[in-house]
Amino acid sequence: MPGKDIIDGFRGTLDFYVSRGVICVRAWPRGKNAGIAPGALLYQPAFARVNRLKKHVSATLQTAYNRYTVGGSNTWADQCIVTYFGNNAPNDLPLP
Amino acid sequence: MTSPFPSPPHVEPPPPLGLWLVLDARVIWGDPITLLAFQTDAPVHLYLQYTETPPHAQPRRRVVRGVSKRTGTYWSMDRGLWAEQVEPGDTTTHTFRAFGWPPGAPLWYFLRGRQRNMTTRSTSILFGSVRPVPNFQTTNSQLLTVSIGNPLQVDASAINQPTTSVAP
Repeated sequence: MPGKDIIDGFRGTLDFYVSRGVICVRAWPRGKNAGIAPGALLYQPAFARVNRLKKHVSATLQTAYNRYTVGGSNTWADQCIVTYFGNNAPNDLPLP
Repeated sequence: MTSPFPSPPHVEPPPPLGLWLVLDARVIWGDPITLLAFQTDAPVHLYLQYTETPPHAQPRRRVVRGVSKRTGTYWSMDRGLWAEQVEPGDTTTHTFRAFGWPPGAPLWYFLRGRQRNMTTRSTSILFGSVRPVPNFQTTNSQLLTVSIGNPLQVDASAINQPTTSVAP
């Protein structure tokens, strides 16, 4: 292994290790900013809308949503989003 | 038909195609016709599926780091009958007529829709209503809670299973 002075002379954080008897060095891995996935970008306006709509849901429906989410950690507001994106149908009977 | 709701709120951005949310719901009891009215944020043509058979409850689980956690309840309903809304075309107020609903009898129902003749992704949650007996006297707000309030919580206690670990 190189001495500490040499290591400190390198720029940034380095990762030293021994692989099959060979001393290796690599830059400390950085998280790559992959950006927003295309699917997430596509639904951003819909998410924004449903989050703003939640404050217009009547108290009666909030009670119904709360009872519907019994037994879990979801709130009535979470349930609004789930039903808005259609992941909650009680059955798959097609429309007439 | 006169809408029992005020105008839907103006919310930006505009509604995407195929997505809608129920904002308010009312049951207007009558004899022999009971009206079920709903308000949505976006114009859509709704269909109501109803049945008298109680729904089935299954726990929803998610495995987080090898541990199965209860996240909620999935309510499934037997295949029922479809009813179409009274209003023609895509609307924000939706009214359904229920004939011959006997007092004390439950009805389970939920909504699906079409927008510009295409089936939408959004649905409603499963609602349950029990028609009050004839001498049932309450204020209007209490009546709404009784009618739209979901009696599902009675069945949920039966499926409240303890969290189990699936890690090896």
